[in-house]
Amino acid sequence: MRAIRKFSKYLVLTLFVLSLFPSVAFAYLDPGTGSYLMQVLIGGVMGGMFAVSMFWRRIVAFFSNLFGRGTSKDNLADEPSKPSDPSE
Amino acid sequence: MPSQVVPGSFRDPSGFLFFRDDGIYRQINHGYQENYDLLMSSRLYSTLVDAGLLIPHEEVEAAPVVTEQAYKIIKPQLIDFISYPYEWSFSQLKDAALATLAIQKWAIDFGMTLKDASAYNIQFVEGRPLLIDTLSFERYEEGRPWVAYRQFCQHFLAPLTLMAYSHINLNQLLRVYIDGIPLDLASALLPVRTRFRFSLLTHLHMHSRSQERHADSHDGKARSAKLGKTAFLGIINNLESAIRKLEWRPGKTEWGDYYESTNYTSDSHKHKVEAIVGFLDRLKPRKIWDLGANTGLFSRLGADRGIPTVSFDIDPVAVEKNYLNVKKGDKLVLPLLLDLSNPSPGIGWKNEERMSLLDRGPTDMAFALALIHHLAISNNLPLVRIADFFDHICESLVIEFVPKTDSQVKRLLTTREDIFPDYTQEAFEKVFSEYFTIQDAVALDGSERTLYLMVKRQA
Repeated sequence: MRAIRKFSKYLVLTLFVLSLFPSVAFAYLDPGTGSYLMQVLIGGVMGGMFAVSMFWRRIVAFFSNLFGRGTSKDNLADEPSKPSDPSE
Repeated sequence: MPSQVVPGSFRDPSGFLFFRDDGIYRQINHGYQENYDLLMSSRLYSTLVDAGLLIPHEEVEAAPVVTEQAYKIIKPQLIDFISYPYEWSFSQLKDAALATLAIQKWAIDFGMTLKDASAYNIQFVEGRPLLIDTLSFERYEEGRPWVAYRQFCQHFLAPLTLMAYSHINLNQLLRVYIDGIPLDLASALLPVRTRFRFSLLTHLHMHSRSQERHADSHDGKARSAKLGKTAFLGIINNLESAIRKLEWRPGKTEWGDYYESTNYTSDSHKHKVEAIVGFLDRLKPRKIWDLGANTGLFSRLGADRGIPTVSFDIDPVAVEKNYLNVKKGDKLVLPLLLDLSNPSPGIGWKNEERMSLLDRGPTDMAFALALIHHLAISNNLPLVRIADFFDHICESLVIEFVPKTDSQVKRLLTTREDIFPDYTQEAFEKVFSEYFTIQDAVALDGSERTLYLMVKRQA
């Protein structure tokens, strides 16, 4: 529930910050600035979700190891991420 | 030895590609020296090459093109056929997107990041997406947002979402917008329900809004905004999850069930296969373009003999089915989307950045199986223009003539006036003989069709 409350808080904050700016689009586009700021705005929420998922994986790995299932170190969150095969 | 710089290789000052008689090379400029050395010394290069995600290269002692800028010259693996995202099926674009994100995750592990995320940097080699731009990496500086975020959303997320939620053919917008589909356009075209998915709401709709808000902003302070590593990884993972959840379930189309609905008898099909195999064994082409390939049944005859075969079709369902089969093991088949009556043009600066279909030819052998009636009758193309087209794209041709008495041609003529008095087998042979030598003609058992083997006349 805390995660959901945190997520909602960030979403409302993000929408609020975006609504502060005027809605006129000018001919000259510098999309980099908007994209940079967008990442900063959503980074907190998505980073939080990522951290929670990593934490959850550690818990699952801990109990799996405790009960003798899944002894692979790859399940640990502090291991480098092993990107999945896109062709799978 | 004369060098020719690849026309599409000029945006990134890190280096450029050039051709010489004996292959393709990439010059690395001094400005990229530190990043290139880090790529090689950090083991990121070897990890990605071993994972089949990055094109292998070797450093060579070759004369640079621009001597004063040159740090090194590398020779990348040669790719049989360069294809573009507007020619890919849904799953091809999706796999290319996931490969880009997988590379980015590896890069972060090794202290680097992708400085661009262009779909044009991905090519399909032996059925798998491969990053072909060795100079796409730079040192990761903690706090700095992903510089290629906008490009990734425009090149991958926006077209895939439009294909999944609006219409499968909206990937053709990539032909109009060379740097990916503008997010304001994608946002306007997408249905409201995409706003109820957090990742699509943020990466597309709110991202588009943010771009509009800051379109006139040149405030350096905004660019100095910091993004921690966990937040950075959170965005990459969220993008990956968003892409994975995008699905397209193709319905029935005219071509998707072609082999199930045609009136081919098993005997005539078998005879056709035998004739094609005989032609392949006789001429032994090094590469094939199969035009109007449907799901690639006959393309596999070439691929089974070790011949790289590009398998073109106009139908997104057929190309998707073809690609899903390629993923199961037919690695030498490259399925691509192509409307032959309006093939991919040269696009970008001077119409040279991305090659037209014809610029990527000629090929050794072309297949035109059960195709000519669609060109001549459905598209009103005179036989002489069809022959002229094949003269431009191939050295030899396996072409099936389908007469007016064939049920498929009769079907095409049921809804329109027959204004094709010249569409006869005699006229076909006469016209094609002006460009090709007819080496063989096989009347297919159980049908009124004839399969020809033709070789281009020497100029």
